Amino acid sequence: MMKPRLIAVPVLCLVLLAGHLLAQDTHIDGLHVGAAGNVSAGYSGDFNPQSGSDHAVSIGGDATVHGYYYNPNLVSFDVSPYYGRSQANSGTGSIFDSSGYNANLSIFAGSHFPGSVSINQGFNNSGTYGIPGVSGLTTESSSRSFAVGWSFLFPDKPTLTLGFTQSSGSSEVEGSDAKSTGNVRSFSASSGYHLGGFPFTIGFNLVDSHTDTTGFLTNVGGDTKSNSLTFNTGHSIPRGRVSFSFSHGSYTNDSPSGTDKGSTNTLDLSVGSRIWRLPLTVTADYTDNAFGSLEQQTLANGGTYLISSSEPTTRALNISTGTSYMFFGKVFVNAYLVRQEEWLGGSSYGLTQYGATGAYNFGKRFKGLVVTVGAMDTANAYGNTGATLLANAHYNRYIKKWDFSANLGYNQNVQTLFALYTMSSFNYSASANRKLQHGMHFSIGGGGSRSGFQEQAGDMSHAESVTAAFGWRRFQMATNYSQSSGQSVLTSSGLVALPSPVITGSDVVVFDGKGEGASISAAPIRNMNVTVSYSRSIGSIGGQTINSNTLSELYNGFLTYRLRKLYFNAGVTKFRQDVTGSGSFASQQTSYYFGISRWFKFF
Amino acid sequence: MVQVLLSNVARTVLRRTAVLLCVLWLAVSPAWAARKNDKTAVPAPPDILLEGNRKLGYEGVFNSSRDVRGKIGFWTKVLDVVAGEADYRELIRPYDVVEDSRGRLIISDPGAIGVHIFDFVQHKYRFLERRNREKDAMMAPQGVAVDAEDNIYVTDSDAGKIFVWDGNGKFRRVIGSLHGGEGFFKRPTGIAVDSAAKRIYVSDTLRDKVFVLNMDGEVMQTLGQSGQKDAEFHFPTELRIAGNTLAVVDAMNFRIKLWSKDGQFQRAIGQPGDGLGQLFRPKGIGVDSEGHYYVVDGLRGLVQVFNADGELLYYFGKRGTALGEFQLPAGLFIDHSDRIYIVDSYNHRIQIYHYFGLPAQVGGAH
Repeated sequence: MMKPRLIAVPVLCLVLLAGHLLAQDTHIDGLHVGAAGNVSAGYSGDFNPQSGSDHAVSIGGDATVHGYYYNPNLVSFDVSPYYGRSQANSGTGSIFDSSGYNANLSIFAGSHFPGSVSINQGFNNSGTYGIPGVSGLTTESSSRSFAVGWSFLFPDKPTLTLGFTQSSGSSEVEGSDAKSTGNVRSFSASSGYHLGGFPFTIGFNLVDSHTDTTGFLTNVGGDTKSNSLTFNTGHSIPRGRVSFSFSHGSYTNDSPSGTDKGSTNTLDLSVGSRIWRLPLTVTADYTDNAFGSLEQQTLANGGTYLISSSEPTTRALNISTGTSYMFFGKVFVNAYLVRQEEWLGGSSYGLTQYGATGAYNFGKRFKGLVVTVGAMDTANAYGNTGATLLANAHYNRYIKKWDFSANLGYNQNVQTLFALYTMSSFNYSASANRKLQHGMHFSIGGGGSRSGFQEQAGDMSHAESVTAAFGWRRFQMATNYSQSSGQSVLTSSGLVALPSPVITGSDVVVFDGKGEGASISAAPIRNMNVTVSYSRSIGSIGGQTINSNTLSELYNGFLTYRLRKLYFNAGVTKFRQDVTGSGSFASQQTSYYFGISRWFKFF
Repeated sequence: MVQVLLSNVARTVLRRTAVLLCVLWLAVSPAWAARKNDKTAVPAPPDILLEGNRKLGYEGVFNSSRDVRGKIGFWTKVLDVVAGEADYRELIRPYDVVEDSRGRLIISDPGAIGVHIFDFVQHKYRFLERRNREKDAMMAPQGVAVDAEDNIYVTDSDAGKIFVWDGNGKFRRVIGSLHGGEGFFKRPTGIAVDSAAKRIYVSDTLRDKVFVLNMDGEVMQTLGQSGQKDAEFHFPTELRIAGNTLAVVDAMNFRIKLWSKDGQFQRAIGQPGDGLGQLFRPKGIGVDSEGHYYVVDGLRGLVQVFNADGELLYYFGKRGTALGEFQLPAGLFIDHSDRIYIVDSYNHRIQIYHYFGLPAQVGGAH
C-alpha cells in the first residue's frame, strides 16, 4: 500500500496552492471557493521496547476546501485532507498518527437528475475490535472507499436511483498477529411510481464482499456474494391502509468452515384499520428459508456465515393481530394474538400465543411513575406450554434539584425466532443528578442486563456498568466501570452478540470482559484545557479455535492553550495492549508531543 | 561516524523546516492577498440638503466589535499576523439602540441573546448576557434604555421581565420577576427612563398598555387600553421621551401617540397607509434637537421625518443592502449632537447619519 505521506502531503499542498492561486486573482468566472484549516509543527518522541526510542520534528495539518460553480445546485464540492493531526497527545485522541482525505462532489442537486461522487481514504486510523459490554481492543486500520450515485426524478414518470460503492480496508489488532483485510463492492438500483393510487417501489441490490484474516483469528473470513430484489406497494382502505412486500434473495458464502449457498423468498402483508375506537393491525409474513433469512441478517451485522442454511429446508409462516385502548385516560392496554407455523426438516411445529399488557401512569400520586404489566400464554400441538410474565417500570422525577430516573424490565419465556426457543431477560438502570451551590454538580448511574435461552443451558449472558461524575465550575471528573460475559460470534471486526441458540459452530466463542476508566479535565485559566484520562480493559475469549486473554491500557494527558488562532499543544500517551496466544509481543508505546498549531482561513 | 550522523540529522531538520516554511507561505499568503481586496471602496449616500441650510449627512456604519478598535500599533499588527486576529463578536439580529452619557452605544440583540456595548471613545467592547441561568435567564432582549447614572434597562419580550445592569456591566436586578419565575409583563418591548421624575415607562404590547413604574419596579400607573381611539393602543411598541412628552409607537393603529409624562394624552401624528407620510410598519422612533420625529418604517426600509404637527418633512433610505439602504430596520436613537443611529436589523449593522440643523438650537432627546 502506498505510504500515507505520499498521498496526504501532496493533496494538502495542492489545496493550499489552489488557494494561493485563487487569492492572487487567478480565478475562474463563476467559481466560488472557500478554504480553512490548520497548520501545525512540533516536536514529538516515542519509546517502544521493541524498536527503541525515536524523536523528530513533525509537521501536520488539515484543511477543508469547499465551493461551487455558479450555483450550489449546479456543481458543489468539498475536499478535506489531513495529515498528522490525530495523535492522542496533539489532536483528536487517536493513538496513531493518522492521515487521509475526504472528498465529495455534488452535481445538479435539486434538479430532476442529481448525482454525487465521494472518495475517502484514511491511514493509521485507530479503531476497535469490539467486545460486547466493554471498550474492546484497539486496532490500527486503513480504509479507502469510492461511491457514486445518480437519480432520475422526473415528475409523473417512474423514478430511478442508481448507486455504486467500492470500499476496502485493513486493520491489525495491536499486540497480536491478527491482521484483517477486506473489500466490498455493492450496486443498488431502485425505482418508484404511482399508478392508480398504488405507490410501487422496486429495488435491486448486489453485494460482493471478501474478508481475509490471518493470525490467531484464522478461521474468520471468506467470500460472500448476495443479491436481493424487493417489491413494495400499498393502498389506502376505509379507515386504514394495506401494504404488501415481496423480496427474493440469493447468496453464496465461502469460508474456511465450508461453502453455503441458497435463496430466500419472503412475503409480507399488513392491514391496519380502525373498528369503533380500536386500532386493529393484522400482519402475515412467510419465508421459504428461515435459516437463510437469519444468516443474511447476521452477515449484514458483520458476522460470518454460521451453518448450512439450505438443508434442512426451513419455512415459516407468522400471522399476528393486535389492538390497543386507553381506559379512563390512564391505563393503556395492548392485546395481541400470534400464530406461528414452521416446517423444519419435514417436521411441522406450530404454536399460538395470546396476551395483553397494561400500562398505568400513576399521575399526581406517584408523579413520573409508569408501570407496565402483561401476561401471555403459549400453546402448541402438545398442549399449553405455560404463561409468560412481562413487566416494566419507569420512573423519572425532578425533586428539589434531584433528577431521578430509573427503569426496570423483566421478560420471562418470551418466544423468539423459531417456534422452538424462548428467552428470558432482565434489565435495570438508574441514575441521579444533583446540582449544588457554587456551580457544583454530580451524577451517578448504573445498569445491567441478563438474558438467556431457556432451552440451552450455559448460554446466559450478562452485562453491568456503573458511572459517576462530579463537576465544579471548570473542573470535571468522571469514572466508569463495566463488566460483561456471554456467548458471541467471532468476526473480523469483533465479537457479535449471539443472535440465536440454534447457531453453533467453530466461530461461537465465550467471552468475559471487565473495563474501567477515569478522567479529570480542567480549565484553570481561560482558553486553557487540561485533560488526564485512564482506561483499562481485561478479558478472555475462549472457543474451539481460540483461547486468549486480553489486556488494553491507555494513559493520556493533554494540555491545550488557545491564543486567538494559535493553539499550543502538549501531551503524553502511554499505551499497552497484550493479546496472549497470538504469537506476538505486547504492543507498548509511550509518546510525547509539544507543538504549535495555527488556524487559517486561506481564502 | 559522528559526522555522518550529524549530517543526516541536519539534512532531516533542514528538509522538514523547508517543507514547513513552504506550507506556511502557501497558507499565509492567500490571506494577505485577499485582504487587499477587502479595502474596496463602497460609495456612501450623498448628503440630503434641506431648507434653511439644514443638511442630513451619512456618517458611517459598524457591525462588529472589530470596529471599536483604535489605531493599531506595530506589535498588535505582528500579533495579528502571527496569532491571527482576535475573535470579534458580530451583530446578529440587532433590535434597539441607545447612547449613554459616556457616549457608549448600547444595542440589544435578540439573535445573540444579549446586549452589545460599543465604546468608540475608549475603544472598548463588552457583551452582556444572562443565558442558561436557572433563575431569571434572559431570552429575547428587545428595548433598551439608560438612566442618568448609566444603568442599562433591557426588556425581554419572552421572559416578560426587565433586566438591569449598572454602567460597568455588572448585573443588578430583575424587574417583573414573579415568585414562580414567570414574568409580570406579557410582552414588554419598548422602554424609556425618566431619571428626573424617577419613572420607568414600559410598553406591554400584548396588554395594549404602557406601564409607569417607579425606580423600584412598582407599578404607579398605566396608560391606555385596547382600542383604536386617541388614548387607546393596539400593540404599542417603541417609546421615546422628548422633553415633557412621551412618544409611543402604536404599531397596529399605525400612529404615534404623544402623551405628557404625567399620563395625559396630547395628540397623535401619522395615519395608516403605504404612501409617503403614512405609517405602514412603524418601528423605532427618535426626536432631534428641533423637535422633529424620526419614524422607522420596517417593511419599506426607510425613515420618515415629521414635524411636531405630523407633517412629513422628508425621508431617507430604501430597501437594500448598500450603504444608506435598510432591510427590516428597527430601533432608532438620536443623540445630543443630532447623530442618528439606525438599527439595520436584517443587514446586521448600525448605520449612522448626522443631522445638521439650525445652529442656534442645541439639545437633544433621550
